[in-house]
Amino acid sequence: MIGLAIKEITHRKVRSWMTVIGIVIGVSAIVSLFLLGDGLTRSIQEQFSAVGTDKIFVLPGSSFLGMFFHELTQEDLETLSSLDGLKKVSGVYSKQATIEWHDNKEQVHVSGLKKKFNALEFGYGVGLHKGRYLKEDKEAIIGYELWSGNLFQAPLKLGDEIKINQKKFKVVGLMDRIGNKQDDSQVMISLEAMWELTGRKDRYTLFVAQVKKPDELNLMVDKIKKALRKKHGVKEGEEDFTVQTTEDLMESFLKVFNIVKYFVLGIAGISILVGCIGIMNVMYSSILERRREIGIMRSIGCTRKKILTLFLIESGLFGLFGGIIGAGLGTALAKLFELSAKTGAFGALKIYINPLFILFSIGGSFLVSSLAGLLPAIKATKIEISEAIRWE
Amino acid sequence: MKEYFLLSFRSLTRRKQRTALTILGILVGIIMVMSLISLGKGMQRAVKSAFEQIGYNRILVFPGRSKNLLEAGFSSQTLTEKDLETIKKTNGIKVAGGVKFEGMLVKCCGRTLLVPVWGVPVDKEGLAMIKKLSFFAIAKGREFKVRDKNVAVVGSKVVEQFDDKIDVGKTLIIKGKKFKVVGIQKRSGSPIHDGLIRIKLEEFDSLTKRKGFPAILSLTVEGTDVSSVAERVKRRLEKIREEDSFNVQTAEQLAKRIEKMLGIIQVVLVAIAFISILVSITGTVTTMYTSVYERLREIGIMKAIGATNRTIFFIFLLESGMIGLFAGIFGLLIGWLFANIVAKIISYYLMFSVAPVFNYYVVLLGLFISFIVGCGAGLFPALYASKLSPVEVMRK
Repeated sequence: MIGLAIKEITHRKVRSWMTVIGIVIGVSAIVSLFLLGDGLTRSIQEQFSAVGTDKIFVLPGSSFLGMFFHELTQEDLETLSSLDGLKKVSGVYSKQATIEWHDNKEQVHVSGLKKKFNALEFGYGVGLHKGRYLKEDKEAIIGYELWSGNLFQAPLKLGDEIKINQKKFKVVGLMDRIGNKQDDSQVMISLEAMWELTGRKDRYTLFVAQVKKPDELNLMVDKIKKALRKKHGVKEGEEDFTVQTTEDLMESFLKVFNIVKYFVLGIAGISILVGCIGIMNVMYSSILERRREIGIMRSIGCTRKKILTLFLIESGLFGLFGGIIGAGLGTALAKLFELSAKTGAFGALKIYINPLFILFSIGGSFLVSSLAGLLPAIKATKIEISEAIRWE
Repeated sequence: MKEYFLLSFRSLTRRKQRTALTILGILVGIIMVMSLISLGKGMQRAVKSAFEQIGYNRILVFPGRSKNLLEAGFSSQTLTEKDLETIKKTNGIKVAGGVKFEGMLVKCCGRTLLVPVWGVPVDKEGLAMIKKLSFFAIAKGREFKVRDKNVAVVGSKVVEQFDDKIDVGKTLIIKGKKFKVVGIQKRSGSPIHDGLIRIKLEEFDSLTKRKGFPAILSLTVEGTDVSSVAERVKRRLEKIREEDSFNVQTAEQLAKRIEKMLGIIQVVLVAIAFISILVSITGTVTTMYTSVYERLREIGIMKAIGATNRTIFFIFLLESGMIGLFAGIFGLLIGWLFANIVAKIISYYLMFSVAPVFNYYVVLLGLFISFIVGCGAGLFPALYASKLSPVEVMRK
């Protein structure tokens, strides 16, 4: 039966190819966009899981706008430090600043941290690539983008002197690559130097705390919230701070990302609908042209059910071929994007080719296109033998 | 020419189902593309009109490389009194004033919330400027007076946050100090300006120690060229400040940047939606080949009685062009409906009123795209039909 269906398709070559191309375009668009979205989701998850799940983050304000207008204080840090169940509590104060090296000037994120900080402990997920941590206030550690030569024409080396807001700092350490451009182009200096630079003493934009027992994570989140609420004199639900675990942070990040992802996939998905309309059209024409044939087949004993199956398979084959080529093309497109992203903003992007997904998309395309052939196939079964043979 | 149209039209109506399905295929793509374009244009227009309402005679100065208030808030640098004086003295500047802001706990009506509090200049000159800024316009109560003490003006969103209990005459406790509400701001649509409480700059300074301004606002003298005034401000500041430690922005630059960003998003979305149109082209090509194939005999006869290759070519090209055109007309109609529904949803959820733009440019663009899609898809089938040899065709 399948052999018969294949023969029918090659019979009208141009038409079949055009229909398959339609499906190929649709499927490859969806496959490449999906793989891209999936790769981005995974790289985000990877970066967060490298941070560690035993961390609690405290941010100022309760919304994005709140974060922009508000800061945390030394007293808040002390409140956190006094809580049982937390191993380490550290504060970060970061702002945008202009850094200057020779004739290059860039606006980057500058973070003030305690001198003997451990990058891993601060939730960066990566450690020091070369050099050492800070010992003095006039020293700086720089991110990957700065020493790799991506941001400045010439890469920075250990011992080089940069200016941050016109003040001199010596580079003593290079950070490993985190994988996204923003985090990789930051500069870290001591808290004291940062306070001096901004003229705002004892201020923080982030606390990172590590819990002693990982299973007490949620308990500690509640404890921190309660202590800070008491300190600030605010009620539950009206907090002027945000306490989040690594997972919370990741989820709120992925939430926005997923909305964009599904919106884009939805728009691309419309093309499959259009492809199916094309298949339906071709099937109607094909059945009209083969009325006689159908009549003869029926007269020599082919049942209505067999006719239905035959045409469903025929229309499904468009989807199968289109799906196979489209999935291949889409994967290639996604891989191509991965290669071009390596040097760009998403260095951490990896396209994962899941064979199950490829099979699923090919199977799905077969299914959807045979569904598109359902109405024409039903029409084919209703053809009366006597009438069909008479027809020329 | 009239006959060509009739011939093409008749062949379309002969296979109604096929024509309808082909049109439907193109239609779907056109609906997507047209509603995305019209909504995108609507967004850009909403931004533009918001800026026009406020006026383009504003010049804003931010520290570092900050291009807007948000970036200025995250900057490690600030602007000084000296910068403000320099800006005030620049030719073409009518008034200028520095603002400061910080999130503060505000207590009122039994609730304590974190609200961005702004310190604004309330001397004679500062007041003159504030009164000209429409996002600070008062809906209820009054604007500050120079001699006011411990007073506050509240943004419309802040009133909502406090369950609509804040009103003129109420007392707010900000960082333990009492402030009397004298005015409530009109809703401007800008989340930053609707979500603030403003107090006098001197009183702000007594609540918190913040050196320098994160932003200086200024208005130019009416009738002057704003961008050349901005250039003068920049040159003057360069003399007293390090290069790149400040950024002079005109309201027009701000508006242009937002419009450009919206434009980029729109281009990406339209490009993805265009995939559907590509797919529908393959559908149309298929239909046209079928149409040619079915009428081989007809073509042969027409040629035998004197139809030229050109005639045959035009008949088929017109046929596919008409398919495209019909799809375009219906696509625009349905797209218009669709875009309006989406706009209603956006306005409802985002509190940002958008009206999709369907001007002659958008309409013509839609018809043009669909006609080209139709003609383009019909090109090869029509060429194929025109080159058929009548003898061979008749024999089949």
